[in-house]
Amino acid sequence: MRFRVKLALGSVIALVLGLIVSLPLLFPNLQLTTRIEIDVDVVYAYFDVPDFGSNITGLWKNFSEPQDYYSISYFIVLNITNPSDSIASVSEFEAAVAPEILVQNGTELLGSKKLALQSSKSNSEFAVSMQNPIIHDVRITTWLPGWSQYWSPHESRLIGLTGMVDIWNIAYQETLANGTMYLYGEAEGRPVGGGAQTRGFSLNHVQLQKMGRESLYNAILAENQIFRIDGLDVHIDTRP
Amino acid sequence: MPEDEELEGTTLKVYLYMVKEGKPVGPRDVMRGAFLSSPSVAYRHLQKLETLGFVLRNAHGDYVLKEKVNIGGHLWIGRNLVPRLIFYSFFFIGILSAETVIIAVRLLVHEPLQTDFVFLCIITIIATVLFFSEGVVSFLKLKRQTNSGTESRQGS
Repeated sequence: MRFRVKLALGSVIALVLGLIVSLPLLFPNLQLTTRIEIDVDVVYAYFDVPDFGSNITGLWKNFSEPQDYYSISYFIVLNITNPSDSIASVSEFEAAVAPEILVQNGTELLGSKKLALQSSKSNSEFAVSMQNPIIHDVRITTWLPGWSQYWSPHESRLIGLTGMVDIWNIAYQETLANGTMYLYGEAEGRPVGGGAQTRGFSLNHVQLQKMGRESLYNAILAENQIFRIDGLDVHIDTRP
Repeated sequence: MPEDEELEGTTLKVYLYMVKEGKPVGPRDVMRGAFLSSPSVAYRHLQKLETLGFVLRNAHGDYVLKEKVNIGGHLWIGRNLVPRLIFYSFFFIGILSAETVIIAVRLLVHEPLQTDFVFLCIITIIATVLFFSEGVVSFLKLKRQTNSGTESRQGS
């Protein structure tokens, strides 16, 4: 009996030694159980169809088949909040605009009923599908001069994504000409010091305000306010 | 503990018997206990052990164990010899346990498993199985050697 006890003890010591050796691998993975939450909302979307034939602006673009393409400049603002009690590192931002967007979040289907009917249920935990997207802007950035990727606990910040794209006429007709569209915003981050990657997203079906060649969705600015753009960060100032 | 380089075969069997008995033994005891053909064979192996310096002869002419020697690839646990491979396998079981926890955590939080980590797990599984199976085979072989002596003694 004493032999068996000693044998068991020796085996346990060897096993514990094995565990100790794997600690450098185990510890960062155990930290993955730490999670933060990220809330995202698309609060502002501006679209403009620049006049590339204008003599005033001097812009000119040669489309071989002009009726098939539109150039669109856009500015989309995401309101990103860290509702957690720990500091979050958020460095991946995404915005998409399309006439039909469907988000599959586990078993839940959000957004376009048309795409929901077409979709075959997959096993994926999270998937975004869209039809004729006019904008799909993804930014992965950990370092920009003067910009911080860290969100303090319960901090909200506005992130602006801007650019210019050429889109097909059919996508233009279905969204900007029509004035209704889906706005999708997403941000990903993790707790500072290690932890699981977390995704926050929002999907809104919105009606745009049309002002000539410009279109606008605004859920944040009051009449006396304007945006001040500072790299990726966007601040709200009072109009001078 | 002195190192053994020549302790093998029947001499090892005689030595293991003496360790197990833990008291002075004569050639006849060894013949019966280690299942040898004659007292002279037992005597020859006892003399070899004496020459190697592992046993001493007392005043009554019986042989006494001097001290336990290191048997290559084995560890003494009390009066029993256990293959080191068994402990190596438990060391790898420890690593495998940590890797299993890592896989469980990553699946739980929906983090992807990296290919190099999966390869590491496969290597650990292979090492564990190899060390454990070789260790058990070696342990059973030793046990058979020592038990053959006990069985013959019980039979007589």
